[in-house]
Amino acid sequence: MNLQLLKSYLSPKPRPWEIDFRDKSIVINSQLSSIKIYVLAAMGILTVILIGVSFFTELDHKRQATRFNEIKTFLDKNTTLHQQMMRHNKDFVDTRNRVRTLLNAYALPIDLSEFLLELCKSKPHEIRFNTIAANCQSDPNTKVVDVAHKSFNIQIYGIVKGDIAILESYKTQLLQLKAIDAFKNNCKCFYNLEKNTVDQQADETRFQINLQYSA
Amino acid sequence: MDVLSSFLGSKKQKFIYTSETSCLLATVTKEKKSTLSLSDLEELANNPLKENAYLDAPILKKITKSKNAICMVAPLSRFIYKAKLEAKTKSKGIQGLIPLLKERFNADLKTNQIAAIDAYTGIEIKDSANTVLPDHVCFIGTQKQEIKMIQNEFMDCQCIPKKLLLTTLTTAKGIMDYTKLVKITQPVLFIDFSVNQSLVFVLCNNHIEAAYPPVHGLKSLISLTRKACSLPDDVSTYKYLLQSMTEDTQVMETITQRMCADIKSYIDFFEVQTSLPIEFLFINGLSPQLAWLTQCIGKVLEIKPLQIDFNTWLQTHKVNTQGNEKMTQISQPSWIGMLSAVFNYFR
Repeated sequence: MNLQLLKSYLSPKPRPWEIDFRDKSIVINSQLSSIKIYVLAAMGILTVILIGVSFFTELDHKRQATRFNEIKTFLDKNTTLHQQMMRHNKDFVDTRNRVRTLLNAYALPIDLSEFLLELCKSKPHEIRFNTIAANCQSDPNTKVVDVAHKSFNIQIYGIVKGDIAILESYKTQLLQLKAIDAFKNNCKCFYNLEKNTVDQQADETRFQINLQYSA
Repeated sequence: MDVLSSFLGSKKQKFIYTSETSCLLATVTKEKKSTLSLSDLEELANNPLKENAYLDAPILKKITKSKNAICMVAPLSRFIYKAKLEAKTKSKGIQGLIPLLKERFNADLKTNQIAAIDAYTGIEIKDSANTVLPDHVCFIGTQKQEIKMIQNEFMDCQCIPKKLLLTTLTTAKGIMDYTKLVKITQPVLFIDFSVNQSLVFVLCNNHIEAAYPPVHGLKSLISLTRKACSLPDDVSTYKYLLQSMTEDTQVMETITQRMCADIKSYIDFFEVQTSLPIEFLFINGLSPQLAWLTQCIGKVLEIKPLQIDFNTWLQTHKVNTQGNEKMTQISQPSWIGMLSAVFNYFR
């Protein structure tokens, strides 16, 4: 399609008995000026929007900076106190654990001192105790120790000289102790001989006696 | 938005028809099934006696911000000349028309804006290499300064015209369209009534058959009425012409006598030349209050005023007349030019 054909296609068809007497230059100038006004107005609106956005961004940034400074000041002010409080907390936790251990010890369902006394009295001279450990199994989260519903376990580590059959009779003897009289029916006593612990020269055997009570 | 709608080919168009005596406004919408719907119809009076202004202030207020409106105007200096081109002139092309204009019609291209159209087809003759001049040419024009002043008046109230047409040609096109529709083949005497002068030409078989020198206009009628009725000034005389002239047939005939005599000579000349009797008369540019002038001149010249059956014309062009109370306004001859422009735009 050549340019002239395209031009004739695009140009409006002539209408008979119709002559346009417009001075097109005036109309074009007017349209251009109105386009200029629209462009200027659009630019003005855009500028106002941009100024508004930057203003609010700046305002938000300042607000954030102020908040950051406030938090920083608060942290600076309270760090020492916080560290101190953390130390106190650690001390408290340690103390609490210690108190709980002690409470556990005193809160055993048996009278431990009486038990030890009876244990020492009833002990045959062939048996020698190395360690006696008693612990109470209770819910660590419970603040008050409930004695009635506690299980306990007493472990006695020691050495038996000579025949180990003596342990069997001693086990029976242990269950007869007055200190555990109240729990006798639910109490179990058994012993273990620790492997490779027999001293052939001295004729001694290491043992472990467990006295268990389940609530 | 206006640019976009003009690009997409908007189906809604505002039309402003202004003459020295009235202003007509209409908004036309092309609806489904190609029907036309006319709305915002208004008819406002324009004072023809004011100086240095074309439209009255209330009209300017009404048309403010009417962008892309099709405006029809009637500058006082408008003219229509018709010429039969000789072979010698035709051979020179469009350049040959310039001396013809100057010598025969004393029309200067420097001071006037002139368009040449084929008197038979109405197509504008443009200056191009392939242009072949027709045998009969009409020159339609007006003073450059005046049309510019009118356009500036429109532009000052932000009424940017999409087209600026002459009421004379638009109405003549309307008459030709109507006579073709109702199959009137006899010549119609067309008088374009104006303030200083009235243009006279003959329309026949959808073309301009003849154009004659201008005859008296409104100012002449006012001057004669003022003398005949001893009225104090032009303004009161104009009011008298509008309001009381229908009752005073004697003065009516006296003041139109000279005008009618001139026209009569043209009619005789036309009828002798063409052997075609002029059967109908149409006077353009009259407000409804001046409609008596058509009756008066028709009676003196013994020519029937052309009666327009608006219903038939509107229905032919698929104008939706239902449910519009203001459609009754369109029954005056002053609406012919407006309707013609509407039909020509939406054809």
